[in-house]
Amino acid sequence: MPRLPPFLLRLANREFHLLPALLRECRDLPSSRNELRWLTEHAIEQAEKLRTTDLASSPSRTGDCKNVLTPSLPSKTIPGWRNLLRDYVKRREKGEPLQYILGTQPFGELEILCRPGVLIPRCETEVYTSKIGLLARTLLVEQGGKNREQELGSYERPLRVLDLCTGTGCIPLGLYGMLRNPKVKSDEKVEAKGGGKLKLEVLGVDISTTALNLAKENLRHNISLGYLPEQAADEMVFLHADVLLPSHPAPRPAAPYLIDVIEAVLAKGIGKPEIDVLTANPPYISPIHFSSGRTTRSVRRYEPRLALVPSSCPPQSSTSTGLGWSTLTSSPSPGDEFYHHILPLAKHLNARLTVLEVADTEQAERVAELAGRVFVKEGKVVGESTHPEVLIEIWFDDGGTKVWLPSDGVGLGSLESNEVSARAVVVWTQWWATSRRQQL
Amino acid sequence: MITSYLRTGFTGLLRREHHPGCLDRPPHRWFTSTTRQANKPLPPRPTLPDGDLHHVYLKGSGPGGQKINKTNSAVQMTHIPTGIVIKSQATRSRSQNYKIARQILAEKIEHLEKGGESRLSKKVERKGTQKRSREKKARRKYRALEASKNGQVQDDDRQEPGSNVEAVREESNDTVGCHGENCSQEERKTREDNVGI
Repeated sequence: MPRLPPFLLRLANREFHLLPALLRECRDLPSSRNELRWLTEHAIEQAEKLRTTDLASSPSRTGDCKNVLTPSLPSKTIPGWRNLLRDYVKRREKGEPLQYILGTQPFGELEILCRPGVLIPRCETEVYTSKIGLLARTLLVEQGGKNREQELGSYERPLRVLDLCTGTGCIPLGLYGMLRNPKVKSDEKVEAKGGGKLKLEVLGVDISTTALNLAKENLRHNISLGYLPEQAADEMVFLHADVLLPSHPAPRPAAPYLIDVIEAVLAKGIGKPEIDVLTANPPYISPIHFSSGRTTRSVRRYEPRLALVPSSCPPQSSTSTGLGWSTLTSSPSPGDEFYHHILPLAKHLNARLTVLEVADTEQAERVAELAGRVFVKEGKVVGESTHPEVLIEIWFDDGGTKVWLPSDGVGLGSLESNEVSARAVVVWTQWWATSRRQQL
Repeated sequence: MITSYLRTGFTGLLRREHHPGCLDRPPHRWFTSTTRQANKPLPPRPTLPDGDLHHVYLKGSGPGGQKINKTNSAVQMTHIPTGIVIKSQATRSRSQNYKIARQILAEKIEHLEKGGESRLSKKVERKGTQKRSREKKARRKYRALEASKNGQVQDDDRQEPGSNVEAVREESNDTVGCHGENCSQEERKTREDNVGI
């Protein structure tokens, strides 16, 4: 990391005495100013909250003339907010993520609570989640209505969304919000057709109980704020399960194996035990990238390693099961471990749309290739003409998409500019793939 | 898209956050005998078609995702026909920043098209009149205070209409002198009103 030039620190100090401290983590003046503004707002809010609770808890004080008067004064005069701000800035200077200090992170239209021990939702995740929501809605409501009826026949199965490694629950909550309240596009047709009628069943899975508790709390929090409808509490489930194999020797908290949990849940529901949308933001940073400076100090020190780095155990050691993992676990990349488990699961559950977050363009290529191997039988090519039932795409940070084909897949990194990194590998299957093709 | 949150009354809230200076003031009761000019409602909030806009979520280059926890939520929006660029970093939420940027951009474009009839210039106009009337009242107040200090106007004399008219005449002449043509019309109006009292 380049050294901060002294003139910048002097400039910041002239503006506000706490600004140089924030520069240490933010590295530039505009973002330090923004963070200072948000921290100040939070400090004033907290000071006000503390004060009102103090007043409420100690009735003896309320007789004091001063205390009665102060709540009506403008918020800047609330004592104590400067001390709070100083503490916040000190914590931020040490590298603590802003979201852990403020306690929340906006995610689409929602407000997600953040707490140490659970990965903070990233803005890249937000971008592709809203994209999934939009696409799923257009596919379901506008184009896919007829197809869906044909496929499902007489019974009506709810649209199932499964999110693995859910953390704060941001992806399932965001998707639920987008599919349930079609506010984002004020298209009245969508509202009339999809808003009330569509049945949803949204599952979130995580291995960490801390994360699960927070995800459940986030669900309640957003319902109480009015960002999600009341029925979300019934239609969303958070499950405790391990995405990796049960015989995994790594030191991780004991959890029931994913496939058992999922199948048990789906068996109770209507229709075949299938999933429509499968999303995952699994740990994908390889141990080398984690320690070699490509992961920032703040992330390394404060965010849970469990959510960032797959266990150091190489995937070759995993034993085969009925889903056919053993044939696929040949890649030596340690960051890709989860994809070797998630992709066969997606195939097994007949997922119409699978979206997996990846670290960079190289990993996207590896995962896309793996997806090609999992979803397409030997000898067939994932091309437009040869295999219409599967469509593999790579989504980029800037919102760009690219259809992945094995022939030009290798040149992907060089074709795209280096600044825009690939963010997700997307697999469409069955009639969703054909609809998506028509869209493209 | 804009209409949907216009309906919820959401934008008003956002604008207040972003531009604390030029928010629509709540109906304020001024202690004045003149009728307020700015009581007319502002023109409706302008909107822009989706096709004319291009927006980018700004972020630093390099790796993203889990490796870095970025707090930058800025949105940069370009109006393609005119090339006007707006950047918004008002809140931590991207979706809100997007709405804010879109609103500001729509207002700018409307200002370009309609000039004096646009919402933006109407707002500025309204602010100007409010400020002028505030200043005027302040001047009147301090003049009255000064006058009472000097003892020129005594308690008994205040009842007499003649002396009051004198004082107002004096004041209005002064203000016209120091503010020039812009204020003169308005000041004349106040003078008439005061005389009426």
